[in-house]
Amino acid sequence: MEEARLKAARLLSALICAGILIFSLIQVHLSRLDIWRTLGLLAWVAFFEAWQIRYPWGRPVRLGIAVGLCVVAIRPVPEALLIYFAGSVIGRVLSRSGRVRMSDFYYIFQRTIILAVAGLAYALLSQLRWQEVVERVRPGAESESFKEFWVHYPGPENYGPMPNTYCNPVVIHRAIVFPLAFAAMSLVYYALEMVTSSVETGMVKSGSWRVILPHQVRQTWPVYLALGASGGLMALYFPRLPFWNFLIFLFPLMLVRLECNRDQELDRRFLATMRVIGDAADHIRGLPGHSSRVSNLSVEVARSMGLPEDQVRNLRYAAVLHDLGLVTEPAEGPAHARRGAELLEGIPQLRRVAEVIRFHHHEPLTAEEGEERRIPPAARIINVVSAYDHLVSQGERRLSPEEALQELSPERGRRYDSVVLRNLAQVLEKRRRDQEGAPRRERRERARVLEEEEISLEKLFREEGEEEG
Amino acid sequence: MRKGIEEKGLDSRNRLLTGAAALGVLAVLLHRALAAHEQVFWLSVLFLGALAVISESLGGDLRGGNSRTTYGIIPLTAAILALNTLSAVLVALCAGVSLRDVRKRRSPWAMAFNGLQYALAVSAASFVYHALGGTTRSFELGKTLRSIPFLLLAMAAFWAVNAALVSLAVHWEHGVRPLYFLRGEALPMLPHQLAYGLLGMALGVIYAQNAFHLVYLEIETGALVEGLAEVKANPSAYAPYVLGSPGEALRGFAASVMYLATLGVAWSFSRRNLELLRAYDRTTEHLCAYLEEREPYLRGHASRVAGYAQLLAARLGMSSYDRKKLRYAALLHDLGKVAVPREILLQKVSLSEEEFLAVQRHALAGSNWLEEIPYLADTAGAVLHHHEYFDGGGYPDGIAGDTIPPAARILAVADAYDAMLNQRPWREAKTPEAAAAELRQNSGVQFDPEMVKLFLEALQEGKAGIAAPPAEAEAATSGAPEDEGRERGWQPEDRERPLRKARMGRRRQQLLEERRKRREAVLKPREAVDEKGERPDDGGGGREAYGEDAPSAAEADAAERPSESGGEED
Repeated sequence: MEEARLKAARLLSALICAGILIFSLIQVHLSRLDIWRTLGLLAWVAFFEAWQIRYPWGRPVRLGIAVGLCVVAIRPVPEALLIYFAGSVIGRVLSRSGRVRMSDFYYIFQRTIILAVAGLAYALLSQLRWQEVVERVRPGAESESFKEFWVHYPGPENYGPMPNTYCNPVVIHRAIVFPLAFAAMSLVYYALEMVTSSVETGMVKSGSWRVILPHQVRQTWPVYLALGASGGLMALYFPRLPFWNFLIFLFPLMLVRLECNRDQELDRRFLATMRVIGDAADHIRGLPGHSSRVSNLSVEVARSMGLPEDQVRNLRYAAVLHDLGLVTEPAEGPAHARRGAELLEGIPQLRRVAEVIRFHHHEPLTAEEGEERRIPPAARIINVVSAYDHLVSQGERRLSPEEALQELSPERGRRYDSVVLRNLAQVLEKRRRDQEGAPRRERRERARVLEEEEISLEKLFREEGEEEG
Repeated sequence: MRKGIEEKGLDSRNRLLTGAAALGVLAVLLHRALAAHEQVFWLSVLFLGALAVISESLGGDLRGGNSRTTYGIIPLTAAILALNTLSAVLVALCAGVSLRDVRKRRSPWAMAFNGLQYALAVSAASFVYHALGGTTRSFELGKTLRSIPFLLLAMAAFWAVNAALVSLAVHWEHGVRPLYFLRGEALPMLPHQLAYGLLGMALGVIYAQNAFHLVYLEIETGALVEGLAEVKANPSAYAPYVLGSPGEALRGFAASVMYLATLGVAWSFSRRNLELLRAYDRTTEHLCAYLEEREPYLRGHASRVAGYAQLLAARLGMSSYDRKKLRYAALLHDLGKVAVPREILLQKVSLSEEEFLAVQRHALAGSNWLEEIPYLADTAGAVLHHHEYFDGGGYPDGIAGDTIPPAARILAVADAYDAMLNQRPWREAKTPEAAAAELRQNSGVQFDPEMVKLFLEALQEGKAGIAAPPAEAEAATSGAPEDEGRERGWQPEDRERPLRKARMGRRRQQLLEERRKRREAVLKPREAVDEKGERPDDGGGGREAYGEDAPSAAEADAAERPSESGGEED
């Protein structure tokens, strides 16, 4: 059902965007269009749009927004929208080398609409009291828009006869109003973008957008600040440096991108290493692969439950390391959970993860007073999934998924959270359906390859022994 | 780059170097002031100088072991672009001050050294820039932009002087050979410095564009300004700039704020990265130490081996990037031991052939695990071959000499040294001298002679800074009953085994290669994240396939290692 709503929303935005673009096309006076400048701006939008900034979790951001904001500040809104739309499309096509999907277009439509609203805001704000200023400095002069003046008359030499002070009101107005108007426009853009993105995420993950919004803002505000600031600088220097301004202010953005992507890469590195260590711990206690399986399944369950992405991240780490405590405290009990948590507590980035691990093991969900204990949702998920995996994968008395679920359900509400159980059932059902859909041959091939590898290594070592013996 | 600072201040030779640098800078200043009649733009110097101090104090990129790139080059480049040599050198002197060093109460000699070396480097850069025809005429934008290539060359000159001075200082302080330092630390920093230089150029352009408020203010305060005569001679042409200046100044400040905001965002991300790196390091070390806790003789082994390996790698001039990787490979190198049945590890009598082969498996298992971490995938070879002998008598492949990856040779020396210094149930711990003698005796046979030599040199110079191993051996002896676990690693007496045992390299390589190809073909990793931010549950490539095939994989695992699961029931 969420899918249908999402599709409807996308269709609606596509229609609105198409409407806006057609309207813009009519508005733009093609005869007065400077074709080279337009193409130049379009090319820059396309170039910037090809670069992405990725977060460790969440939707990537494209750099084209910076140029989009700049273009809206220096050209009339209809022309700016057309430039941005065309440039974005070209940039996307080039960056994905032809494999463009409908969802790409959806995001371009969405951004064009938001840019239109922001552009209108800018047009209104920048005109504030401009007429008065012009009247004062050039009485009787033909009134021109702030934007035109900005672009066509870059330097003080164009400001006309000075009044008898050394503070030229045109200059001051320009120097103050422009940054403020631009900042306001960027804020409007950011707010709209965050709201639409939260609503969309809410639709996909069955959560409320009001809950998701603060998380998204917290993650994305630095990058959008950088994008807005760079866009402002590009617009500020466009009259004087028509080509160089984009290049010069590309560098700081590239630096931001570099650092962000490195952040993501470090996160992956961290997780991969923890996975290996968790694996080793599993081998020590004789249940190889347990942590990986629990991690994969828990993440699916968490997504199905609609947990926000930063909690999913903590869940991943915790799931991979949850049984670490068993190396020194072999008994399965609260002791090993505590030991595992102690190990990670010294590290600030993993504090939340430690908390999740501390509570993951079969803690009763309600205290004696009958109140719900404050166990993080991630811990409840790991609790259930780990128990499930024990039932499903231990050598001799192995159960099938359905039997395992049945085994767990008597403790529903007491040891195992019922919401988690329900989502687990859903996820397993989905897996079963996918499995039936997937070509059997491929699955068998995979299983065969894995078995073969292990056997061939055995053979190898035995062969060596024989050869030399 | 900035030289890292020792607690005790500078070596005496470095103090001499600082003195010489001071004389050089003084000469430059006098020459520019008296012979070339340059004026100091005090307000600009103050502004950029403050910016330089702030940038230097921000921590920068800690890539070097002995030096550090900082963001200070951004204001310095702006100074070179927008100001004359005299003022730029003064700005560079300010850049020597870093608030971090002040807060940590480091020796003023070291800050002086950094300031002076920056000053010399900036004077070289400025000289190159002006000699090539670069302009500092701020309001002639076209000329400024055309000077960009000259600026890049000037930054290269900056790097050269900077690297030369720091490498000299580091050589006298830490004994790292200058060529090694240049190759390992300075050269990788060159692209960084050029990139930061471009950012500084942008700041310089912004600053120069709107610096006329300073012209205006300097006229007001009566200070002499370069080109003031020109302004006075032609007031109408310059009137707009002078008279319009507060507005221009506002625009300039707004622009600078926006620019610095962007850089600030980048910096905040890089701080987070740094913290994440540190957390990664500590966590990995901590957890590896934890995994060793079951076997008292292994306790602390991983950290110590990592320490020795890094020491040797630094001596060899490995780049710090590779040294870091080696560190993690060393920390994780003995993870593979969990794949070996515990009884064999516990065994006190000599191992049979089969048992020894099972022990050899730990190299393979360890390297498999490392392969799953993309960052460490190229050090997997180091772990795989860390028990190879230099003359070819080792395992698993029996390769010899230079075909053994250098990281593996380093690990071999480090691992063996630590094993010797720690007690094992079948022998006592050796003293450091005896261990060193053993290393020397086996160099060429088991170890790479060059590495042994460098390692012993480094140890002798006492720069190890690692806790004396015998103390650890003490702890190991105290609580060790007879039936505790023990590790069966290489032993000198193993050399008496027929060498043929290990030479099956080619067949095994073949099988492993086929296995790898099949694995890749069938267990294809999923594509990278798409727009929705949906990402696959990876962190280890093809592992997620096990999610679906959980029963069969577990079956295969269980069938393969029955002894382990049997042995772990305790």
